[in-house]
Amino acid sequence: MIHTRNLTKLIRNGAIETKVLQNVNIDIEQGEYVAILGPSGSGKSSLINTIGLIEKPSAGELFFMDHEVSRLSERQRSNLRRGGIGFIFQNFGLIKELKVYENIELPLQYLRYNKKERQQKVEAVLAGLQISHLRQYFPDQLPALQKQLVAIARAVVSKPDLIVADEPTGSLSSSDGNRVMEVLSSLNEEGYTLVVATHSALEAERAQRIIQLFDGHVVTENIKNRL
Amino acid sequence: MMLTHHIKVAIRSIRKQGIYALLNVFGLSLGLVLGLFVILLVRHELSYDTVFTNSDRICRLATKGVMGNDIINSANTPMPLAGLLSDSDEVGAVVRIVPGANNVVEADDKRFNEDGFIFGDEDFFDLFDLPFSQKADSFDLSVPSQVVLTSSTANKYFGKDNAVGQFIERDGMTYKVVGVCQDLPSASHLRFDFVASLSTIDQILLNKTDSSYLKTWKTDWLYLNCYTYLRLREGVDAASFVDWVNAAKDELLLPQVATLMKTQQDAGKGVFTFFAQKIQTIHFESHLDGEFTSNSKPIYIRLFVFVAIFVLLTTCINFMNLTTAKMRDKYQEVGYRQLVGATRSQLILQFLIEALVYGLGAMFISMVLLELLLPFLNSFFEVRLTFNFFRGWIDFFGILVVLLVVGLLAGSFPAFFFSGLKPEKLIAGVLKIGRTSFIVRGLFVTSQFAVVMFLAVVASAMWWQIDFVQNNDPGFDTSNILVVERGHAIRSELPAFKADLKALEGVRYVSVCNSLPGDDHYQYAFRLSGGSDDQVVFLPINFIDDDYFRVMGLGLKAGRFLNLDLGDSLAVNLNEAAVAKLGMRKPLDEKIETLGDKGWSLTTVGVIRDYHYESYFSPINPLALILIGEKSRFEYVLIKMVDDVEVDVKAIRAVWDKYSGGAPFVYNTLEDRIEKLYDEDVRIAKIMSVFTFLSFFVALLGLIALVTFIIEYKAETVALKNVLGAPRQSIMRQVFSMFGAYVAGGVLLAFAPAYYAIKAWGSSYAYFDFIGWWIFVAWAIALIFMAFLVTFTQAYRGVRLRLRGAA
Repeated sequence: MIHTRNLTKLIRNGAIETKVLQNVNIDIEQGEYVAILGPSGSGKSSLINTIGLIEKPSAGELFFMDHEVSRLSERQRSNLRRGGIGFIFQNFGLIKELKVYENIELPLQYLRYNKKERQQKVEAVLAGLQISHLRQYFPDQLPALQKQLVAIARAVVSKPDLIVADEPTGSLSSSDGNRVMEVLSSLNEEGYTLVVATHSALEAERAQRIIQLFDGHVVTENIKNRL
Repeated sequence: MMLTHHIKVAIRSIRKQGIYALLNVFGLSLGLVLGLFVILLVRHELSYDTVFTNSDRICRLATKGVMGNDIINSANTPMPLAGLLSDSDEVGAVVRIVPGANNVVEADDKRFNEDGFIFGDEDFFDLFDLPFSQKADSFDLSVPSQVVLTSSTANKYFGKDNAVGQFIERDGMTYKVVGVCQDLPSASHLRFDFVASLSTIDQILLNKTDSSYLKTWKTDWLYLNCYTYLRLREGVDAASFVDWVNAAKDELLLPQVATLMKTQQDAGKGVFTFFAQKIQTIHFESHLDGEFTSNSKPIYIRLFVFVAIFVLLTTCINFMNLTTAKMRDKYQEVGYRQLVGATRSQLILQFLIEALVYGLGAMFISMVLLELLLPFLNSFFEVRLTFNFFRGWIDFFGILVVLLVVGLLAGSFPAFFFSGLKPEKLIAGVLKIGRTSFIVRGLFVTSQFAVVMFLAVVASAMWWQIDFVQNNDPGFDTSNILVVERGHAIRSELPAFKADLKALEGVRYVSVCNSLPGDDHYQYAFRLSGGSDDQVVFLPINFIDDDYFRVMGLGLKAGRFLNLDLGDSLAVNLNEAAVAKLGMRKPLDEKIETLGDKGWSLTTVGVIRDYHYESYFSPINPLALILIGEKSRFEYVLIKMVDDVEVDVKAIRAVWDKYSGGAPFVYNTLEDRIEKLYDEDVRIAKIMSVFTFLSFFVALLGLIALVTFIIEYKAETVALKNVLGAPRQSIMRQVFSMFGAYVAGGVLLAFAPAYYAIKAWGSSYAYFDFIGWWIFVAWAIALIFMAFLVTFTQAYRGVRLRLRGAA
């Protein structure tokens, strides 16, 4: 599903140029649960953002669903992201002015589903994650775990081909983090392709495969969970 | 579908912003009220004399030229001109208008002093086709003693009864009411409440003079005694038509001038021509002698339009500044929306709708405010503006267009700016505002303060000049003088009336006269007796009695004041300007004589010092003071009171009632009458002052927006500096320095335009007192100080919050 060839990402800050990703070659197949592990500054978020088609690589090739997408414009990438990729962030990324129900409904509105379809899909997701009782709350009224569950619901409501999660437990307590990781695992079991960036080896262990990054390089690739 | 989503989000977002949303809505409302008011004002001013059918083809003929040494520039024309015009196939209708003097009108038991009584030709309502609510079957304005009332006048005299067929009395004449027409709109240079048949004047003049005077009055080409209006037929060019008129009139006029000037050669010196003025242009472009009403100046409209555009633009800019200043929280939201599938156009729509929701709220508030304030504003600015948003579809759609433009303009920057950013920057919460962005916002503040400075200085200069013309020594004493109108009501009892008044406590002198300062004076053509024929001078004349000098406190340059006891019925007092114009080297005991049938010869017994008997708009012109004839009519009684004694108007009224035969007692003070000469400029100065005040608030809002913006975007810097131990004062100083230059720059930028605007405005005065540069400095200091105070308060609050955040 995702293939990178010599993927490189440069960040310029004035005259200073930093390579945050260097010749990264990875392959992620449909239905896989892959963890990207690394310390701060290792390039995890850059890799996640690039795979999630948020950022554009500086060099190399990136294949998404068998299409080479590294040279696409923001608008083209946006079209691929819409409905194709679901995002989960450390700080939840919920819209404060929208209630839980409306936050989850938002991607479907942008995808122009009619009201009835939206309602069915949102209700299904709410029920699946057991958060139906939160529908009328605003994000600021919820504790962190519930916020992240809402964010997960929003990420999966349009049944995307890929779900990317950047430090999904970074703002949670360890017990809440465990709950979120369990939910992600169950999503994978439902067939979702999952790429999770984390600095926690323990959390990474939940994935079928771990790609370890250091200074923008892939240093190891652990495939034990694939077996 | 998405629309309701956007509206819902906009409303929630506004609610969440709390005080800033209120500030934003308040700013927008304020700007819109001012903008809407100015739009109404401009619409009113531009609608002058457009109410009549084919008003684009209705012209007024006016007169310009030279008569002897006099320049003629008059809105009036001679009576026989209409006959010439009527003979032309190019003219659809011709109407002459003669305004009646201020006089009492009676009907049944009602009596009012009326100054809106005019006489018009039979085609008056063909040309000025106001709709009639009542009309007699026998309506014919060519018949003498017929009158048409405006509806409010009919209501005043006859209530709800049918006015047609009723009778009114005026100055000893009875008029039959033959019609009731709609009130004349306020946006007209004409003013009338009664239109009587012009043919009535024949009878009025015959009652007072003889038939030879009537003949002169009706046929003399040198007597500018009426207004002449005409409607040209379609396709007729006004300029070439007037050329024809001037050529045709010369054949009739020149022999008359030649007779007057004695030689044909001199007749060329007595040539004047007519010119056409489209009635729609009179309000702005015509400033002739004898105007129906005092007209406005185009500079005011340009000024108003400028202010309206400025206010609406700055309101939008302030909105953008305030909106984007509080947008930090929105960055990430926009990024997340992009990631969940929002297209750029959807994001743009969201921001525009948010701005429109703001605009809608502000527009609603401003319309309610305007509805409530309009009666007050109309009264304060002395206009009759109407606002029909809740009643008329034109205003409704007009306002919607304004709302749409303001909303789109105000929302455009956040919409296009944020929606164009890349999602990775937005979700990272890293948004660097470039130096250019700060500079652009700073320049907005500069422009706002420049305009405030401009308005403040110009308004101050206007008030300064108004104070000058109202309080400067005009060469006569205006204080403690009571003016009673329609003085001729006590004509036959004048000596007894004066004696009784003088017996009252506090009454010092009593006098009568025909004209007061500011009035149009009678003019006669004079020349030096035995002097050369080309020394013809038109001299304004005031007929007075010999107490006039004491009442008015006039100064004497040479000779003595007129005195009836010394047999001065054929004597004259000239002012210095008249002496100069007549070229009199030794004016005392010299004779001057009138031209024409009257054939007066007057001896100059004194020269009075020049005084401002017109207004400060004109230079002091020549003037002749002549004692009023024993039986001649006069208009005013002047009562000079002793200083520090309160006027007992009741006692004066009792004396008036004793001698006036029931004529109403209409009085005011000379000071009030003189102040009225400058009413238009006072009105404009008031408008300018209100504009200044509101613009100042709009500018302060802009400043608050800028300071908020600086604090928001420098939050990290502020916090970091605090951690590193920077004192709060140093942080404040930095914030202040970021805007101080912009405010000071704006203030300085306004110096030159304000100076030239003051000069341009002052050029309409013959005597203009420039306020001086000190006002520029004073306003500059005041504005910078006020800006500092507002910034200090806002920055202090913002920095304190940031420091707390850092802690």
